Amino acid sequence: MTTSPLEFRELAFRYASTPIFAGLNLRIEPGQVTAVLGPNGSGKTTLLRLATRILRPAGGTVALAGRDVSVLTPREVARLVAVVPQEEPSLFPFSVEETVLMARSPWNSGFGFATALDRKRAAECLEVVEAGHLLRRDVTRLSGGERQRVLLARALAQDAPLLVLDEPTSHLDLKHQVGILRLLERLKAAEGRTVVVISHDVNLCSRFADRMVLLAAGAILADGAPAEVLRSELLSEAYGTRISVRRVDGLDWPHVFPD
Amino acid sequence: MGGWTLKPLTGRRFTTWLVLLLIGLLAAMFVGLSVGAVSISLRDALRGEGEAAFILFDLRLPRVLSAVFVGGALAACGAAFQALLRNALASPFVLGVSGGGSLGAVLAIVLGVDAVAVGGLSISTRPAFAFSGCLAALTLIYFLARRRGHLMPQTLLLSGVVANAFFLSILGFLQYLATPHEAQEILRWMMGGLYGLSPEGALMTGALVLPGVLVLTLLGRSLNVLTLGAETARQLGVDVSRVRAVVFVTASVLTGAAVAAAGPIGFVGLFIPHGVRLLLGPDLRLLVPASFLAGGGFLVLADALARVISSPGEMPVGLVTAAVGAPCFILILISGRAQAGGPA
Repeated sequence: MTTSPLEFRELAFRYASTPIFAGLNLRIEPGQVTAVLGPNGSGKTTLLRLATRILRPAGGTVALAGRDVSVLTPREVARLVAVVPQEEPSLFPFSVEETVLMARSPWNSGFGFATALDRKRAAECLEVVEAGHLLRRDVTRLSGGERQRVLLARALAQDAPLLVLDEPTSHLDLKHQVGILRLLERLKAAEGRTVVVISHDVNLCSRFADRMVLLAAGAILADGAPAEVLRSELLSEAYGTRISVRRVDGLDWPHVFPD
Repeated sequence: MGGWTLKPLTGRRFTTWLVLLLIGLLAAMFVGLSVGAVSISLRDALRGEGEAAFILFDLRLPRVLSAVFVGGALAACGAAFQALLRNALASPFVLGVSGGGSLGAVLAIVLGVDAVAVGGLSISTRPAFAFSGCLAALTLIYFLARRRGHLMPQTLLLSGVVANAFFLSILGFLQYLATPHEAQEILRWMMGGLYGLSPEGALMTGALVLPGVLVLTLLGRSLNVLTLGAETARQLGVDVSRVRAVVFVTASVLTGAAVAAAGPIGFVGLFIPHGVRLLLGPDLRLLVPASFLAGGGFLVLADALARVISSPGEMPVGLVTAAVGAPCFILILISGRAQAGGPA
């Protein structure tokens, strides 16, 4: 069995007195796009914070590439998992290039002036997300969509085998939503990266994910191919409202409609 | 400047700017050493002749060096605090460390232990009291702001503001009890000024400030990432808790050293880092040492101006920094808004 880039075993976690997870098991398979779905408060973002050791589990283990995160330094964690945050307000007028170069921080030592190699990597990653023209721009002056693509480029430049995206399409128009997910497919195919997407956009994930994990109240309600997970009774139970799943003519992935 | 930004920092740009600023600082120091109530011949002074040499080496040089260390420390701390608190309006005095220092100095004044006689020499104990006050405040605020072992910027800011208010209320009470002469002395100290500085005192300030600025500069890479927010910084591999603690303690000790030497001199720590950021970009690896050199040069010139204006008196330099600093800051704000095209 190959090593999983991210695995939770018997995971337990609570915020103050509110239990979130009690014995959750989840193994992310290498080279797949896994979508984690679930209603607000189901623990999706908490899972992400546990994976990056921002939060510590009350019980069980979190392993990145087979290594227990509790013994890894922040720098080692950053070399194993890169995160595209949902939102990130910019306060100081760094350039787009400087922002992307900060992702080289876990690989640099000392004072960390950018090397020619670092700058080449940053430019490549910006090209990949079709944001090469933004290189010299001030990050405090980008549109929501531009910013999201820059954050994705930064995560790519971090060169970690696992890429986690938290609501990657929330600020994007329709064209860029599809563009980002196509890009994730390409990354998976070309670079063998493992991708985890946390999203509310069930239909978009249905089209691009290899696997869907449906969380509800801190437990996995369903886990499998989109066609297996996107079932009316499961979704209705998870989201607490009636949801129907239909096939749209000419498209071979299921679509979800709240009633 | 319409969204225009600088290229990423290289070793060459880093060195070039620091050398240029160092030359500017040396020029400012030359001006600071040349002006004063008594005009002296520099040639006589350098030959070590009598009164001229005494004025240059025992009066003006300690004063100019202190101005460099104090102004530099305040500006470098301002840059570091602005990054730590992710707030472009933070100054070294916002976290209450200076309030503790003021309380210490005022205690020394009203307790009548302002100076001790050692072997026939009168030595001012005020800096020691002020520095102790800063360290006490630093310790108090550090432990108030800790949550489960971590320093949180929001609680840090809140604890600092509350601690400052508390120190100033005690200070007000002491001022109320003080004799008119003591009250005058307190008022003068609170304005911030560079007088009565011994060569030893100047060297001691330098011994605290220079290593501190070096530490903050070396943390520049981590501070850059920290401006993106704690969670992102963590995900980019920065040990956020450790960096925050080291920056807070180092910058507070620097602030303490500056306040102990010269009282709470305003505005240097706020607008120098702003101006330098506007000119050289937000990269803290360059911003911190560049602010140190610019802040040092600025305070030397402000002090020279204060001495010239009020000659042969001693106007507190804090009045000059505020008078020059406030309009400069407004200019920066106006140009900054025009540049950013909206609120920062």
